[in-house]
Parts: sequence; C-alpha cells; structure tokens
Amino acid sequence: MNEDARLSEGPPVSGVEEEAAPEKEEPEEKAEKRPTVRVRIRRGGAAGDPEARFDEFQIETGPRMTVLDALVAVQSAQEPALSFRYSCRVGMCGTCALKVNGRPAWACRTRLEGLGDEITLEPLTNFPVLRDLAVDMSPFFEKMKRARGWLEPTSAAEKAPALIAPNSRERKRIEPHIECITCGICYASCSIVGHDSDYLGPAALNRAYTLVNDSRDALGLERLLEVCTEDGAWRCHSQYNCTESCPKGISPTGAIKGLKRRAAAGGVKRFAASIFRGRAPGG
Amino acid sequence: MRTMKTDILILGSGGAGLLAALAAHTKNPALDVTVAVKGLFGKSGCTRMVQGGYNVALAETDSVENHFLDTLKGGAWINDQELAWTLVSRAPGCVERLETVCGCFFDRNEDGTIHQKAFAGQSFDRTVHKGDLTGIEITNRVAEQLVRRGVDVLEETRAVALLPARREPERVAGALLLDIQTGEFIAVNAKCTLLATGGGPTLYKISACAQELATDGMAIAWEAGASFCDMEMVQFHPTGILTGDGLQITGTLLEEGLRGAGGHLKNASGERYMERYDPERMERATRDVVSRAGYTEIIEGRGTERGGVFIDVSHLGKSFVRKNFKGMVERCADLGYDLVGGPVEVTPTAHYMMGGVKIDTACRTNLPGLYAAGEDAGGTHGANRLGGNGVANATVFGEIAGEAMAEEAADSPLLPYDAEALAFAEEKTLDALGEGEPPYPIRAELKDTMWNKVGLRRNGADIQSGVRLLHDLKRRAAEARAGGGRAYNLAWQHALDVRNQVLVAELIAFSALERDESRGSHYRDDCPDTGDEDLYNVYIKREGDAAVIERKPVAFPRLSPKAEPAALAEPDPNFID
Amino acid sequence: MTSTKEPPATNKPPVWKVSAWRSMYPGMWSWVLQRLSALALIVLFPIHVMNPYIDSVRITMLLLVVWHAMHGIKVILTDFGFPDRHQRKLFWVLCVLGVAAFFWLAYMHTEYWRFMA
Repeated sequence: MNEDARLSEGPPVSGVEEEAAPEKEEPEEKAEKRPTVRVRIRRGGAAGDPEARFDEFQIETGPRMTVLDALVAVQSAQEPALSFRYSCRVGMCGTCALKVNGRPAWACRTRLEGLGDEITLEPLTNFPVLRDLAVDMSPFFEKMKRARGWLEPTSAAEKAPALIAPNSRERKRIEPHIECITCGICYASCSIVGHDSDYLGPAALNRAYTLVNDSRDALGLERLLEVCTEDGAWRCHSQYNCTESCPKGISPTGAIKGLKRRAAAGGVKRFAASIFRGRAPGG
Repeated sequence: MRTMKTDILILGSGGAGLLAALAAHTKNPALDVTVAVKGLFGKSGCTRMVQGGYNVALAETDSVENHFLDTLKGGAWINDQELAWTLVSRAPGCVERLETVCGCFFDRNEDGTIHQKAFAGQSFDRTVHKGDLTGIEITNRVAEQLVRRGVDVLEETRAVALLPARREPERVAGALLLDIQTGEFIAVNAKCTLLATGGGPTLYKISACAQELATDGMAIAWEAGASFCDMEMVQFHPTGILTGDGLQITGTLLEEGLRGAGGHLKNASGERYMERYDPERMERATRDVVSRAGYTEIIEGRGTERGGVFIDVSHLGKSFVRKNFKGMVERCADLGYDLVGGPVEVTPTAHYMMGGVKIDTACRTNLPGLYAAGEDAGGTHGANRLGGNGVANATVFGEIAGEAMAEEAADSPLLPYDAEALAFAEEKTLDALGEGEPPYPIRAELKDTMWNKVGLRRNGADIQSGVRLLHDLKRRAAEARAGGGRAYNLAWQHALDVRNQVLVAELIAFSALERDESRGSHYRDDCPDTGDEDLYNVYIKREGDAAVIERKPVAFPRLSPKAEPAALAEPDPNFID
Repeated sequence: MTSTKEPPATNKPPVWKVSAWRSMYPGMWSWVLQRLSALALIVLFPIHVMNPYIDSVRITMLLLVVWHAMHGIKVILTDFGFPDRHQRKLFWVLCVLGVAAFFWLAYMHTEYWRFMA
C-alpha cells in the first residue's frame, strides 16, 4: 500500500498546529493556547436537498487527535444534531468512513495532523445519504449478496475443518484479500460505480475472489459466471482507485484481475474443447 | 409506530446474536427470526473487535478438562460450573462449525490444521485465531451466512424496553424498538426474545468497547425484573492504547497476544514492574493482576506523564512482530507509534463485564420468554474472564440460545403484550427529547465516578461515595434532554444511553459494596484477602423500586477448589517457553 | 444488508456525487489520459490521412500513440499477473520509457523523412 495514499500517515506536522494559531475568541487570557482547526461539514441530505449546505466549526486540536475526535467534539459541544456513524473507534467495524478533504478515509484512524487547518468532511460518494455524514450502506451489501458473498461449503468441507497449509497456493491467494471490513471506502472511490450503479464494485468482487479460490466452496463456476459479467469483473477499468484508497492495504483491483484471468482461462478451455468436438462455441 | 410479529426476536448482532440467529434458523427454518441491532448488521458490538482469538481444546494433548480448570482458576472459583462446563465442552464443536458451516478461515499450522496460540493464564496454547483480528473474520462470515439464509434484520434499531405479556406479567412477549434512522418506534411481538446486546463497560472513563454499547440489554432486563449475578466483576484489560485524555481511540486494545508472545510491560523509568507483583508469571499473569499492577504504578506516580505505562515488544524481533501482529502494528502506525521498534503507551481499560443476567445452561433467564447470551449474561467467567473465553462464550451460548428458542417457539403461542407497558415505555423514551441538561456532562461525570470510585482498586468508603454520586447522576440522567427532531438524532440516543449506563453503574456499585473481600477483578484495599471459605455469588434483583441484594453460596457440582483432582495436570506457569 | 419486514418508504435519497474525480491517483490519471489520447487520435487520424505532410500532426500523433501504448501495456501486464503492489512504480517507469521511446522514434522519423526527401 502506498504511503501517501493513506491520509492518516501524513508527516507528523507540528508546524500546522502552530500556524493555525487561534484567531477567534480567547475566553481567558491565561488559558493555554491550543491550536484550532476549521472543520467544514456537509449537512443535510443528498445533492439537491434544499437543506444541503456546509457548516463550519472551529475546534481545538491536540496531538494524535483524529477526525473522529473532531466529529465527537463538534457533536457533543457545538452541534448536537450532527449525524454521523461510528462504532468501534479503532478501525475494525468499518462504519465511520467518510470523505476527508475529498478522499475517502476512516474517521477513527485519520489523524488531524497533516490535514491542514481547514478540513472538509463529506459523506461517502456513491452511497445514498441518510443525513449529514451518515450514508445508507444497503446498496453496497445488496451487491455483496448478488456476488453471493458467502461460503457454500462442499460436502467434504462440511464434515471437518479443511486441511489447508499456510504456504499453499490457495491460502496465499486468499490471505491478502480476506481481511476486508466492508467499510465501503473502495466502493466510494470507484469511478465505475459512480457511472454504473449496477456494477458490483470492488468489495463484492474482492469477496468473490476469495471464495473462487477457496477449495471449501461448492459454488465454483456458478459464482464465477455470476461475477464475471458486464456489470461484474469485466466492468473494471483497472484504475486502481480502490487499491489506492483501501485502508487495509487490500487490492480489490488485483482480485478483479484474478477473476478475469480465471474466467478467461475457463473460456479459452471451453472454446478449445468445443472446436475439438467440432461444434460452435457458446451454444 | 409500526408493529411486527415474529417468532424469535434477537437483540444484537455480535457473536451471540449472530450465532443465535443462525442456530435458530438451522434448527427450524420455518420460524420467523428477526435480528434488531443498534448499529449496522454484523458491524456493531464487541465480537467484531476480538483480536486475540477463541479458546478451545482442540489439540490431542489438550483436554476440555484442562480448559475447564483454567477457566475456574481464572474465575477464582466462583464461576457457575455448569455454565463454564457448557462453555468449554461445546466450544470445540462451535469453532468447527464456524469453519465448516460459516466459512471462517482461521490461521493454520504447517500441516494445515487450525493453529492455536498462547494466551495468558492458560495451561495450553489453545487460542484459535485469524491473525490478530479474529473478530472481523467471525462476524463477517456468520453475518454472510445469515444474509444467505434471508434472516430479517432491523439495522440501527435499538431496544428501549421489554414488553410483558398482557395476562402473564412475568413473561416477556417482545420488545419496543426505536429506529434510530427515522426515530420511529417499532413494537415487536415475539414468542422468545434474546438479549445479546453485549454489556460493554462504557460507563468507565477509559473503556475498550464499541461506543454504542451502553448496557442497553442489562438495563431493559433490569426494568423487566430479571435477576443479575456478580455485577461487581468488571474486567480491566491491561493494555488499552493511550493517545491522549478523552480521545476516542484511547482505551481500545492492543491485544493480549503481545504479552503472550513475551512482550514486556514497563513503567516510566523503564522498570519491568510485574516483577514486584507476580514474579513468577510476570506479564503473563491473568488480566486482573496485570491491570491492577499497571493501575497501581500509574496512581503511585511511576507512570508516564499522561497516565500510562509502556508495552514493549521490540525485543521480539521486527519480522516476528510484523508478521504476527500486523493489525496492531498498522494501528499504532496510524497513531504515530512504532510498535515494532519501541515502547507504546498503554493504560488499563474497562473491557468486559463478567456479571450479568443470571441464566441457566439453556440461556433461560428467570423471566419466561426472555433469554440472554454473551456479555449480557453472567456467571460463566466468575471473577475474571480468561482472554479468549469471551468470543467463545458469545458464540457457544448464542448457539445454545438459538436452539433453545427455536424449540420453545415451535410449540408455544404468540401471546399479546401489555399495551399499557408499551405506551409507558414510549412516553419515557420520547421524554428525553426537548429542552434540558444535555447528556454529555452527565456521561462524563459518570465515567469519572466509576473509574475513581468503583474501578480497579476499590474500598468501602469510595464505593459508598460513588453510590451517593450515582444517585444524583441517576436523577440528572432521567432529566437529560436532547434538542432537535427524532430522525438520526445522536444526542437523543446518548440521552437514552446515559440512563441505561447509570442504572447499570448502580448495580455494579451495590454489588461491589456487598462483596467485602478481594477476588479476581474485584479488589478492595480495605479487605485485600481472598476468602477461602464460603465462596459466594452476589445476586441482585429489582423488587418494586428497590434493589434486593443477596449472597448465595457457590455450588461445586463438578470440581471443588479444595479437591483439585490429580487427574488434571497442574498448569505450568512458564508454559510458553 | 437490511431486509425489513415492512420495507421503508421507496423514495431512497439520491446518491451524493460530487468529488469522485477529485481523488486522482496515478492509476486514474493513466486511465483518463489513455482515453483522452484515444479521442485525440480519432480526431487527428483523418487529418493525417487527408494530408500526411503536416509535421506537427505527425509528431503529435506519435506522442499520442506512444502514450496510449504505454498505458495499454500497463493494463496488459497487470492483467496477466504483474504484482499490484508495484503498479504505481510501473506507471512511472512506463511514463519514463514512453518519453524515451517518443524521442527516439521522433528522431528516427525525422531522419527517415530527411532521407526520403
């Protein structure tokens, strides 16, 4: 994963704090000077909502503060009606994703340091907005469902945990793609999802890839055909936006390419076989 | 208000809720199972946050009996032995089903069998895991299976009250839910209701839990008249990451495996302080001992400036740490810490509630129609839970509850709930909207009170003063108000949360006052000894508006602390070497 | 993943789309510029056919063809298993190679033209 793709890994800028000297109200003269930043938050529903607007808040910052801390500070002290979603606070649940200065990121693990003294927060792209920063994730999970994102165990796999060595080809293929927390960042960063709302999207295809490689899974070809369609793997344009923005360092693009290779290899084999038998392919 | 009828209502979608839904559906697919969850499905709660793993006796050289003995020793012998036995004996099957039915893909040994790693306080390396982020694998995979099976889910929907049956006030006939997104009520009429909301000691200043866990399940069960046990037993984890006071990420865990693998804990002057507290087991002592040691260092001034200590794993080797603790390394890096190369600041953090609603081995509570599993239920872990027994507990008892509910729901009628109780609960919930004190100062004071007065080191006088403060906070919480409308109003939700939190905080404080000894996680400076005679559990139950506390002797149906059978090998304290 | 018994109102809020293009990474640039180069080639090609003696058109087309090919090669390589973690590096390497190839080809081309003249 590229370093600079992760907002949270920006250089530990101390200059930013000092530059952003508090210019607004200083209640007590002796109160310790804490640097402040301006947070612009998109409010209201989706585009076109007459209520839609950007609200600005000034908040005090400190070392190691994250975007989530900023949101909590705004919500609990300045604007109780601010809507956003978070749960685990530490990058495991995948519910606090939003756009920070135009790029999708987890609020909980993105530090304010390095973001500048004006931070713009918007809801994730490509998701219906419920209110403010909270989005409706159901289209995303609907696609997971379309890709049959679950194991359908073979009768052998159902009997006992399968023996799969850690250095087997299967495990090595699955391992880099399995730790997806379905936060939706890849889906929000994908320009194809933006154009084609039927496109399965990176996360669903990534899950499908792990299953296609899983010897315990019985769906095999059926799933492959399901996901390698015009609205599936073949729709991907290899722009790597999902790979660049995934906070887990997963490469959905790589998974999609893996699916394409599988499907292509299968297609070539069938084609060859059909010629061998002397009939037209595809019939 | 919407109304709904269902056979089985499951509150929560952590390990217990998910497995219960799966088990109930598997047992009887004809039944209508509905899962209501406060956050997003499969993404809410603490099973998701499990790092280390899942304790289970799988290896040939290990045994269920050893796991049982470790659990009892860890729990300082006040565990409900039948529950503990159920846990350890069903765990192997459950972990297998997670692989074979749900598709979890745990880490493997070279020969392809499931790998098990070392955890503190155990006689055997029996913790099944997926890297250092095991919970994600479990919740993702089980949630997928429920999607596959088409189980009904209500997301961002919290339970605000249990509804009694109209003609049988003891029986629970469903729950009143609140859709957080729209602010609308949903009255659910159910044959069986499962509390699987997780406990979550978020009522402490520093805590490890998901933020939405506000002891909702326990609070509504209390209101409904459920009986609770051992509420004073709150586990503190020794290594919550410390980034700064009041920051959201502070208190979330750095996993136990770091100590299991040989990580060192150091105070501000670089001393491995565990030498003074538990020279034999050092950092691998049980969580209660290590947390209390860290807390003592901090309050006695040997901690860091910000009030923490250090965990240092740099001596274990860079590639080892990177390979085995990838999630932790990334997490620290995002926060500007280098786990691989040096010490990271940590603090004890409130982690788990061993106490909870008293259940039997089929997860039934004292209220007919109401089941509890996971952290909402108490008794399995006694005075201290072993690391790795938490997710085992959630999944094992989730399955049991699911099966038991499927059985009950198959041949019992749907009884109507009491409309008056419904109207009352609705009114009380709406009460929190309007003008008044916001919930935030109350929550902050509650957290401080619990941390300082009923925290890692307690004493009678402190708890007494804590009880007085809580009394006042309870009154303020009842009057806490949130402005704004009903849709997606976080402040309203937080006002409802703080009511529940104060209520459960009181149960903890009352029970802590009752237990005048030190045992496991409950440590009192004014009575530091652990009594060997007359072990007891503390029960608490609502009668009218009063809390009735009662001590009951611990039963030893399987194993007595005095007659430890020779057949069970003595755990080797240096088991890792 | 929500499936409620009584589905909520059907008028789902529309998707919030504004800044999808703001987060531009190398892979995205690669794609966008490849598409733009294709469009430009479509425009230039007929001009070139009608009058092959306009130097600027020939040189521009050469530049565009090289650019288009380089990123085509990137897609082909990654499609056939070039490791993803190096795709960024691949982008820059191909950019450099493309520039070098362009100058070399342009040089060869002018020499050829001079020879023909």
